[in-house]
Amino acid sequence: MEGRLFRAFHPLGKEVQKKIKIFMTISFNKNIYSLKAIKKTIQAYKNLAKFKVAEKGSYFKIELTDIKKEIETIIEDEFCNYVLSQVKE
Amino acid sequence: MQIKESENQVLITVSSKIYPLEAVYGAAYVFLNRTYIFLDEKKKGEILITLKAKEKMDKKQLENLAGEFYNELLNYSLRNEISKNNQKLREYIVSRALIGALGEDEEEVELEKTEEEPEEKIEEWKGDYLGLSIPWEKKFRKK
Repeated sequence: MEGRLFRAFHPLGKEVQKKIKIFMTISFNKNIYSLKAIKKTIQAYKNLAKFKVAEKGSYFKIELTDIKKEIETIIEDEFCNYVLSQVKE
Repeated sequence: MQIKESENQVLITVSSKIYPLEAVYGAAYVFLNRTYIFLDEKKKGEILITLKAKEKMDKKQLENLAGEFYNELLNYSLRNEISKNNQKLREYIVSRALIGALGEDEEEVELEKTEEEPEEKIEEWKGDYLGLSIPWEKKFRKK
């Protein structure tokens, strides 16, 4: 699980937005998590962030952008838990 | 087992030969309401389980959490094993029950059919007091 913080800057170097824009990447092992479970979770979370799915080696890489401010601290963990619950089902 | 108290999480590594993936899923599912769980494959045949407590826990509590998880793993492994061993027997019992239920249903349908048929009420003959049985010619014959 990785999380990165970004600040938006004006070309002259001034900070134009105080709001911190966050995007994060979650890597799910293909041998443990199914793509079907991940897709179901994305469907459930579609109103909370934007999702991009990519495959890299033995991992599914999920990129989350435009995350809602109120849930940005917990979305990563909650997302992982939801995927796991879908795998079990 | 590795405890990261500052991150409120504990890392567990288990062998998939001892604890099958199904058992890991089962145990993880039980802990979903108390912890955030993330699974990964460390090496081939080794599953890394990250348990991150939803509420703040100290070292002792995190240790207990890991212990409980191990117990649940064992529980699900056994369940899995029993389930595999009894699979044929379960299938046989279910199929027998279904066949039995099917037979009963057919009987019930037949019974319902016979019950649904309306019973004709045959009233006792009280005589032709309206004179309906008398032919028209006979009734209105010119005398």
